[in-house]
Amino acid sequence: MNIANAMWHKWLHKRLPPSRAQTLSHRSIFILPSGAGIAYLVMCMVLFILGTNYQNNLILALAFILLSLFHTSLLMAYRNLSGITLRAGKSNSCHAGEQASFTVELSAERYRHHIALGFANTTAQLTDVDNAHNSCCELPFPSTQRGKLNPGRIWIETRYPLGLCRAWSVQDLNLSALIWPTAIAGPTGLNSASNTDQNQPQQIRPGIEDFQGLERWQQGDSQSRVAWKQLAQTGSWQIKQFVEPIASPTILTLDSCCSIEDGLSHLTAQLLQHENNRQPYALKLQQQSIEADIGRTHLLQCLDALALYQEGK
Amino acid sequence: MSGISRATQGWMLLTQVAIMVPLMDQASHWTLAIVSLCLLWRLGIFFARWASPPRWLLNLLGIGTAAALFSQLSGNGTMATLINLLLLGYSLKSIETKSGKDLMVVLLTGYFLIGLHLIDRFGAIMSVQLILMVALNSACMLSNYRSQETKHTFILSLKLIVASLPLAIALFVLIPRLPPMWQIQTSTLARTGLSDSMALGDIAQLTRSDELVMRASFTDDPPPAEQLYWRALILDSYDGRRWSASANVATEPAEHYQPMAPFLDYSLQVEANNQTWLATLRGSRSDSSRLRPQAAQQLHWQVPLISRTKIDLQQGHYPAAMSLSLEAEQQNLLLPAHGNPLARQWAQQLREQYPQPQQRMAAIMSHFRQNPFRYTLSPPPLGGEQIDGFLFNTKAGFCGHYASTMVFVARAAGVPARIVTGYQGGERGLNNEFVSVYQYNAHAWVEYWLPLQGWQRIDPTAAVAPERVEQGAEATLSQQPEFSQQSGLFTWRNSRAIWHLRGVLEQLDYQWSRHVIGFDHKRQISFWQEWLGGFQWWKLAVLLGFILLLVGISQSGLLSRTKPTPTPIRLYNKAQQRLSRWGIQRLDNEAPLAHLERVQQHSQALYDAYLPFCRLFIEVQYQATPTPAKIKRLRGRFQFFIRQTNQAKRRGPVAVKPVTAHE
Repeated sequence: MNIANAMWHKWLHKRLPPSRAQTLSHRSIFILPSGAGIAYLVMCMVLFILGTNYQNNLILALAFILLSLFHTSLLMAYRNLSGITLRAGKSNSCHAGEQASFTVELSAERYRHHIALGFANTTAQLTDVDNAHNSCCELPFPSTQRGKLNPGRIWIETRYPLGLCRAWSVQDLNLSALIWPTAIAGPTGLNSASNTDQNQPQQIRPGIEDFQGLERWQQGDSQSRVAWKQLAQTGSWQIKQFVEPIASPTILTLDSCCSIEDGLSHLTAQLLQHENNRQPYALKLQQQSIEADIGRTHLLQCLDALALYQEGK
Repeated sequence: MSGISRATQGWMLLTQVAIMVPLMDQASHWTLAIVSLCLLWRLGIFFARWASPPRWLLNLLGIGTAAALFSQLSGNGTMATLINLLLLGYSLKSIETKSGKDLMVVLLTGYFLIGLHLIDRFGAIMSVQLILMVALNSACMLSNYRSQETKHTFILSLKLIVASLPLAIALFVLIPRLPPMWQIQTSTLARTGLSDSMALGDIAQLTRSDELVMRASFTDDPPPAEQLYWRALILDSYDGRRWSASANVATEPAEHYQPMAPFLDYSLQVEANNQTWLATLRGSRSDSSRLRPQAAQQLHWQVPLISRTKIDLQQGHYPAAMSLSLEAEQQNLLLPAHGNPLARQWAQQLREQYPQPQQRMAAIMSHFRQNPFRYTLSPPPLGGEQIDGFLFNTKAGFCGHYASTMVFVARAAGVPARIVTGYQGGERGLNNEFVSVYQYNAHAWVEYWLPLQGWQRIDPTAAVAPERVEQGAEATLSQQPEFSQQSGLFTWRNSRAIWHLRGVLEQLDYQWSRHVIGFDHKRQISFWQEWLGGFQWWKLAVLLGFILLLVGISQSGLLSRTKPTPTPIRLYNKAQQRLSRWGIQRLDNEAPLAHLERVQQHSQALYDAYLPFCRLFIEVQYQATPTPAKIKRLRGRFQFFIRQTNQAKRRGPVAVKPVTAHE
């Protein structure tokens, strides 16, 4: 079974090599009757026997019409699939254990009905392809471990027009997505505490949390911050000043006390926590270090680094 | 594919009504009730008034179904049971249809039910109905795979079927007809027709029906109506009330009646009537193995006729002088011991008065002619002594009365005689091509035995209502109020245009039956012989393969779909293929100019070979409208690039000699 499977994939790889854009043609489309189609053929056979036994030409004619309708629907299924172009779009990363998603863009010259799209072992998405504008499908794929995820070949399938035939193709669009480690909260404050200098005066920056004092009002200051009480008492225009403390940047490193995967998971949790608390953080891995910063881009950069850390070793 | 759209539900409802309504005459009352309930429920679901039926209702309907089938079992035989079963299953499944899979079951059953329509319907109109029903059922399937666009669904479905017709016709003509695989029970298809016994009053019932019995076509002009006596059954036994066929009919040896030349060729297209008898002209024979000759010059089917069938026959002359076997003579003189004394007395007088049997028969005929006998479809009641009552009292009746009275009197007067029932005359189609015989042509007449001359036909009705024989039943009957009341046919018969239209339709139906319904094994063999030099399996395989290929190519658009790529793009793509040897082909999202730069970085020599082509390509593709001259130049530069890179391949990857402008 495994050998057959391997041979099948080898053959597929040779016949339909990976590419970011694929147009379906007779080289890549397979057609077989569906379960309903087989039932339909059996029914045609029964009609034929009925017609033969009753020596009834009209029943025979019906059997032949239905049989050639099957043939027509086979060709229509082929026509419905052939000429569709699949293009790989954006891949969306996620943490291991969540659903990654891949965007695939479909385009065709004619209108295509009822196209099902998906990866093996996932639920397929149904879409129509309009000749006027391309249709995008976001296909989910479950991730199990961090690193580069290759979802494998895309199944594209149609049973149009009558559900009697299943025309399908399997295309390798060279899709891949980075899967970040799962976030697991580890022993807290372990790394960050060691890197923070407690004696340094706390740095602050303008914020909204703590009241700092009053300042002279200047052109352009918000009215909502005007200290009305002071204005009434003293007659001078002043505004209230708020600040929030900035923690000094934390340097996050891999904890060597547990396995790499666990360590990475803890790191991920810390990254997310710091990002959430808006505390600047830097990442230091064996050969790679990322400067302290904060924000979405920075977070993604760090997560990608974690995803690829010692990958393939 | 779970959940069914509203459009599909609508199509399903429509399809179910269209398929089931014509089958309702086969359904029992129980079936009818359950089917209507299901359809109503389906309608409720469609208008979103009702949910799908609760479990208990389904169970209840299931029990009802079992009861309906049980009540059916005792009655009409397997086919009717099958139809009822399918109707019930079809409608029950439809109300609990939720997923595409359920829908598929309903639709497949639908196709099969369409087939069951055709078991006893053969007309040309049926073919149109057939196509429409298949299209409806397919439209329902189709709508499940189409979003919106409801109004085109039916058209598309029709198109699918029309596109399928060429292959279907090829299959119909080429696939060999097989003999029936097993004997079918045929008791289901109850049909009107002549019965094998006759009491006074029976034929009047038949006479009112304008159902088609058969169509006869002759190689030459059809004989005149008064010679068209289609014999179906011989009734030679009388019990005082009812005439029936005795077992002794069979004692007349069949081979005595081998007809002789000259022959009159004719063929019959007989409607299915689920009977073994066939109404033929006297002295007919056939080569067909489906018929067997019977005594008294009858031809019977081997098995009851269950489909419209065409049969070729020859009518010949039969030898004049023969003797009647003793049993047959006794049988044809047999009368009940008592009853009808007046008729017997009159017969005795005739016997004394006329020594020759022929004279006695002529005397009976002239008695009918000279006394105030009249022809009527609603004769007054006859009383206990039927023959006496008719002969001396009421003097009003139809063919059955005259025939049975005549046979009675003839037998009482010592002349062997019997009743023959069948059809008389028929209606001529346009161009005299065929004669249609309807149920209202049903008739009964008399045959009597003349020593040395054999059986002679005599029709007492002709003595009373000669136009009944000469002009056909229609002329006589249309004046009878009972007849026109029962049959809508004669009320609009007056309009010539409609009459003509009916003729055309009949013609169409006739041709349809002849070429399509009648396309049997024999005709198929002759078709193969004529066009393809005899049937061979390999020929069939090759031919079908060829047709499949032809249909496949034309429908799949393999030929039409390959739109040629414009020359510049084609050349550019080829150039990229060449550049891919060095791994520097253009990327998907790269502009040609940016790519050119990359080529330069890779190798100056390659760049020099590629530059002239690439420049012109950009000009042709993005700047100027391409003229043929420019395309030609582009081709030249492309070839130059290829030549250069060919040399490069031989000498090593990047050793392309520098070039200046090509032109």
